[in-house]
Amino acid sequence: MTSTTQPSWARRNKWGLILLLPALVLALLAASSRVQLFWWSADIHHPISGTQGEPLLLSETVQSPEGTYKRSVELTVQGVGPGQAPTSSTGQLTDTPAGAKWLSIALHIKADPKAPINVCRVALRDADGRRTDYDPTMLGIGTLPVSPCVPEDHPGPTGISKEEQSKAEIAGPRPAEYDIDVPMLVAEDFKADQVLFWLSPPTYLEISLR
Amino acid sequence: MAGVSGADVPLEPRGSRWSRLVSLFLGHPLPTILVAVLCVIAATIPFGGLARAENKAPKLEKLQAGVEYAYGPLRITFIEAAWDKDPQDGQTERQIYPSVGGAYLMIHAKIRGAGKSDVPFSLLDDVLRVHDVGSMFADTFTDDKLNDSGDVIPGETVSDEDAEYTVINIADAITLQSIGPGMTYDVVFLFNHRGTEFPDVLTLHTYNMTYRASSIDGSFDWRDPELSGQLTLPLKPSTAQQERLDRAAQRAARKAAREQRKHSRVHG
Amino acid sequence: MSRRTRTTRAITAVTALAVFGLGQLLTAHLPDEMTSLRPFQTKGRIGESVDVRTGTVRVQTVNGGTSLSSPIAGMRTSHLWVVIAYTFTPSRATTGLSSLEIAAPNGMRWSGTESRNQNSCTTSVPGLPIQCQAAIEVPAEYIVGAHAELAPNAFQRQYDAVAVIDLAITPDVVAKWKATPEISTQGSTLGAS
Repeated sequence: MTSTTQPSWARRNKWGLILLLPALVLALLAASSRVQLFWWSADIHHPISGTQGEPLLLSETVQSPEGTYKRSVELTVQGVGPGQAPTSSTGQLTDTPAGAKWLSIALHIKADPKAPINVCRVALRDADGRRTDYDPTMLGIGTLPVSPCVPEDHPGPTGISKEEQSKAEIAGPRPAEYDIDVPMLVAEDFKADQVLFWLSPPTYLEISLR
Repeated sequence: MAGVSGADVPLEPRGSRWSRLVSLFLGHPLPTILVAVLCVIAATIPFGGLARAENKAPKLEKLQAGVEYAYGPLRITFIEAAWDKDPQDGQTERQIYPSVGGAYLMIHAKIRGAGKSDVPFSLLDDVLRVHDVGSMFADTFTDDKLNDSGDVIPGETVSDEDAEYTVINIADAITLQSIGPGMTYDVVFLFNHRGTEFPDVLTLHTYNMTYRASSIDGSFDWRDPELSGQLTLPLKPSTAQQERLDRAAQRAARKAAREQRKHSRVHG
Repeated sequence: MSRRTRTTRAITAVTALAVFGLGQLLTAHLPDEMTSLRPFQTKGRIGESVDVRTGTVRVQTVNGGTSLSSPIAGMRTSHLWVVIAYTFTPSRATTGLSSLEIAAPNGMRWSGTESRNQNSCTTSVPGLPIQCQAAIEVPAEYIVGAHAELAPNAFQRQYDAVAVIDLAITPDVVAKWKATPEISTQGSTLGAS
């Protein structure tokens, strides 16, 4: 026979029961931390929204072997319209594959000439959520400019180290403000709804077209 | 029954020896386990106890040409060995260029993929080594080159035991890095040798490998090559190479004869 | 110790052993890790479009011969070269398709990325098909009844979609291929055919 002076089971295990729910929540959070670590930051998931014609600022801190630095780009999407097959670096007109068409994105970019922004990525998204990326090698190496957001003749530095900065100085610095047209190969039935621009995921600029 | 006192605690009845042993164990689990472990160790004494296990050197199996041997899913039948400075001499589409630093050592064999999936590069590349050739080989990944003045600029050199080979499909001279299941190929194990001095007999060592997980990332692959077999093959120049040597010898003989005649005419 | 404590401890020990036993039984009979990670397979025929998560794939032709002429090199075999022409149309992202394997009824598998086989299906944009080709060397005696498996990623098939396409290889087809001296292959081409 149990002693009648002993408290009930619930009373004896009060703290265990109280902490059960927070412990469960913590366990679930810890188990799903991999989603954040490996998946969410690997692709663009954090949008900064804007509209065509309005400047939008993308600012980020970059870790590099030479140290940590900030870089920012102010982007204005002037418009997306029909484009033409570009001429490659060898002077040949690029073939347009059957079932595809060219669009042209008119961008206005403002950035510090010393900032390395050639790693930028540009994409178009349609109303169904299909994303067409700018891919310089899709039609063969040399058919499209390597970077969609820097002028081909003055791309600017590729990093903040002294050598990379001086190489850009010698080649001629990138202008602080410039217009650039990005040729995009899309499927025939693709209608662009948004322009996407990013330097490193997960943060990106999402600019809706009027 | 022992006398019952006025105290509450009942006296434990004396049960059987067995129940007393169980009580002892349940009452003092740690010392009991320790004693059990010591008994087990003591029982190993007649079998060597804690003496060090000797790593015996493996017995080398003597292999024969023309017999198929198994290395995991890979089957190899060695046929013959030869050497040649320019194995693709006379062919229009070259995959193997003439050796500028020496000659190629070629071991002709038939290989086959048994099993259900590929024989991977990790197995195909480490199954064979040459032994005791006494001279140096070129490292597979750096080539000897000829500069403009015709001097040989050597690539990296390794000793015969470390020399690696490429597996070449004889029918089209394409390098094979792995082979599919059920596939058979007539191949040459090609070594890049420095100089053209070769022994008359070539000794080959073959290695067995183990398919196990890596201790670093857990991935499975063929690892730990272990010397298992030895094969001796006669080694001579290939037919084409022998013809070239014969022609060179004849030219030298004719030149010597001409010199002799000239000398006798002048001084005769 | 008291009789009650001894009984309690004995019951605890027996329960613990029973739980271990149950655990062993479950481990032996529940699906193992390989089974639970298995890909989602969709069967199809030549000429049929099959969904593979990142887009749709359609095998167009299957041909064979005893030597392969490719942009890289000419390759002879004492077995057979099989060239599979297929199209891939991405659905939502800019991507290609990298995994193609031929699997025989007896379990043997030949991959487009192993040995001297070739598989080219590079990047395309959503809605734009890309004409792809794979050239795989196979032994003639095992491939009757073989099928092709196409998947987005050659290195990771866990939980992913795989299109299983019957290649309609009969002994007559094998005999015809053995009598074909040369078959050619090329890289992938963007655009509808």
